[in-house]
Amino acid sequence: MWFGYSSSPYFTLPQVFNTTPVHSMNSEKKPSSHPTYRNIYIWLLILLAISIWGPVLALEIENRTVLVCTVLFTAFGIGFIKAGMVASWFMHLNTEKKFITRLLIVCLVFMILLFAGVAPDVLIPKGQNRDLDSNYQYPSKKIINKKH
Amino acid sequence: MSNSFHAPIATGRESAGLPAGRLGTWWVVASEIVIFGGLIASFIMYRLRHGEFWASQAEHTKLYAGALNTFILLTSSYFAVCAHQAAQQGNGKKAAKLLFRTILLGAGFLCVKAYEYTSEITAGYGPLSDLFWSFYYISTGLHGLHVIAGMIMMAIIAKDASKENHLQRVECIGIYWHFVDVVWIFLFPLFYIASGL
Repeated sequence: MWFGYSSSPYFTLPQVFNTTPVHSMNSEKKPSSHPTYRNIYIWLLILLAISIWGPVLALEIENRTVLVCTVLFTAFGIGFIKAGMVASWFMHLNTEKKFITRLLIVCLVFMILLFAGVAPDVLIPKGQNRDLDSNYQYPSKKIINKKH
Repeated sequence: MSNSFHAPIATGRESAGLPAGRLGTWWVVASEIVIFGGLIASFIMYRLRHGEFWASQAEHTKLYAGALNTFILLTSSYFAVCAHQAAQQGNGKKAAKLLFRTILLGAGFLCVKAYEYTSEITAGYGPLSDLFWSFYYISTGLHGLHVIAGMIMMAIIAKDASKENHLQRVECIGIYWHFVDVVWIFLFPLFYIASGL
């Protein structure tokens, strides 16, 4: 049994822990190569630096469309890449049983359904018998008054 | 009544093809995706709705404090995965040492967050100042609670691991901790970086 336990009364570790690399205890198929955790960590830090300074430097761009695209990519695009790297290599999702990935995807789909179901009510300000703009009070004055 | 020990039945479950502890951890992560995902999706929805005003509010968050916290969490994740590797090699003491480093970094994260909260509330941006700040405090506060919970669990597991007991749990707490890291990876650009949009 691939996750058989040692002879310890309460199991300590699956026996396979002592003999094989991290990814293989999870694997349905073993990858041919595995980058070291230190390399992944260094890459994550490089991406972090880009995601911090990219949007800051992008503020100098005058063209609004280019600015928005640059900020979206450097902040959120790289965020997705970083999250993917952590999930794949640190959480070992790339070698985990496939149904775990599917389970997580199902949860994401539910979340997107929630978003899609509610978004029109929030994003469309005017509708039958409702006007969101007239009800929303921007509190900046309140904050300024409070400070003084 | 027999005095001999038996491995708990649940830990040897084969139907899912992986240890029950890890399966349970993944279930927790899956439910957390809905919690944090819903929160983030709602934030994005209102961010699109109140574009310029919320962007001006995001300018008041401290970018470098958020960046420092991202660095801290990424480093703690690195230590957590190294602890997992050590546990896999049967080196419980090393795993425990690395887990304690992770806990220390978690404490550092909370200190930076406390500094941020203090300075923002002092400046007049409290949880009730505006919907943006309500989202900010709920999201980062809930995330902070997960960090605290992770630190407590990690301390218990590290204590056991230092005695070479229950080393398989190191992987489970690692998965949870990495998830907390992933959540922060998304919260960071939303609250700290997107002010230029």
